[in-house]
Amino acid sequence: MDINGPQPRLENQPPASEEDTLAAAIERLEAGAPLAEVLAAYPADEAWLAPLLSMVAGTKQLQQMIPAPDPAMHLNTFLGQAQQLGAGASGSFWLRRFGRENPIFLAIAAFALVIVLLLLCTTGQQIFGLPGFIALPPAVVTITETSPATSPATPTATDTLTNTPPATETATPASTATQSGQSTAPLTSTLTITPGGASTLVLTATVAAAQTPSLTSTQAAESGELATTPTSAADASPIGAAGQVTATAQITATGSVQTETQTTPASEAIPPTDDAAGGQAATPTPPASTPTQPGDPSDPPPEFLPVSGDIGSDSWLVLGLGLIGLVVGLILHSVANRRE
Amino acid sequence: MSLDEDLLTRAQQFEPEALQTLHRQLYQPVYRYIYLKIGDANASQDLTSDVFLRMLEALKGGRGWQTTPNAWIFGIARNVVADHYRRRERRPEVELDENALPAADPGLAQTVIAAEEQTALLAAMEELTDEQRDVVFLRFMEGLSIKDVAEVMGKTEGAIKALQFRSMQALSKIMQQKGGDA
Repeated sequence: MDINGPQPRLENQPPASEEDTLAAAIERLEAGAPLAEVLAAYPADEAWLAPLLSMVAGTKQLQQMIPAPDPAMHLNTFLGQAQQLGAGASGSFWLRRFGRENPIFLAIAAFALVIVLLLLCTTGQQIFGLPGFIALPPAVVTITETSPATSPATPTATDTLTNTPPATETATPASTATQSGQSTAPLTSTLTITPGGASTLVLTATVAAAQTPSLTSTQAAESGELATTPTSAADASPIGAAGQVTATAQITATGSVQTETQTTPASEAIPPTDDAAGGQAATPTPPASTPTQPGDPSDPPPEFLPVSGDIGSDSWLVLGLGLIGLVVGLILHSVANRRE
Repeated sequence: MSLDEDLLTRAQQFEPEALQTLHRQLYQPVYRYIYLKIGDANASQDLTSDVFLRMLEALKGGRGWQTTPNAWIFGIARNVVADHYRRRERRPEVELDENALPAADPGLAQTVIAAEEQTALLAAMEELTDEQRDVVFLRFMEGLSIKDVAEVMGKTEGAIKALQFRSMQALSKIMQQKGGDA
């Protein structure tokens, strides 16, 4: 009789209740009840139940008929495999966890990592609408120089403005320097270097009485150096009363220099600051330069470059490198699989 | 055969003692199951090794049983045998090596059927379908519950009860035929 073919449809196919009856009887048998007792519990079914329960009892003994090798023969091999796999598990847990089992995750993570790294390394560039994390502030270097206050009795702007801006103001490619002074307060000279564009040096002094301040701005075109030096009175613009005098020197990107001097009457002059009106005037102090770097709390907040509507070349670079990250992820995945 | 869940939890951490206990309890049942299905002692040992290797890989991957460890390990063994068949690309001719069968245990004479009948019964199982043979082995030879057998075979408990009934009925009929032929 071939029973390995299609499911045989035996004669006297029992209804579901007989299947349940057999299952219940077997449970009694497994609980330790003698066969006769189990059969006695189902007198109406004893005719078909008895041979089946005999088969059940017989098959329970068959385990002894199948010889099995001593487990100890295989145990060392098994423990060796376990040690090998266990060691590999500790060494490459994340690779297995997120590489072998989640290759897509690994690839996406690599892609995201590349983008984040590029954002970190890109100064102020727009990548897919996201600004670079390192923004270029308008000022790269700011230098503040404080010159000693002049005597209140003989205020002259010339004195204060003879302070030559520090050498660091000889910055290129572009710079803006502002030096302002008041006769009774320390003067401040500030140089601001901005990327690109022209360099401008502005000197401003406020005088309390009719003065002929010597203000000028000169420029060494060859080196791009901006400096201030006192000049003769002929170059200066006299003001007949208290007011403010401003000298501006501008060097363009092409190297040409333009100078301009303006005077403002006292009624329109910028009032002195609190510091300028402080009590330091009587005690002249040596000039001090305080270079500051971007990121200082005193710096203005970073400004990003204007957003471009198109994806720039940097974005394509990011996209390309991201795809490389994707490929690397897939390679890692294949390596992980090979290790397995 | 009953496995403590704590035992497998420790096995997932690759504790040697837990793995050793696991191996000691499961090796022979798994081997018998495979041997009953493919009928070759050497191949059965190889496939049993495969089962334990897969078990280690599953443990390493943090996987384990859903209901009981018994159903889990026999589920792995069932898949290993299925893969074995797939590799051979043909259904096996299951012929148990009767020379490998041990001599009848004198104690078995006290059981319901004699040793000769056990040998005949074992041979009769070769004529069952794979599913019927699985039910007979798992349910009666290894003592798994209907629920566990259902999990191993991916069937409902009702289906296992029906398979159980048909298996016993088929075995009974085969044994009757063999008795009549003799």
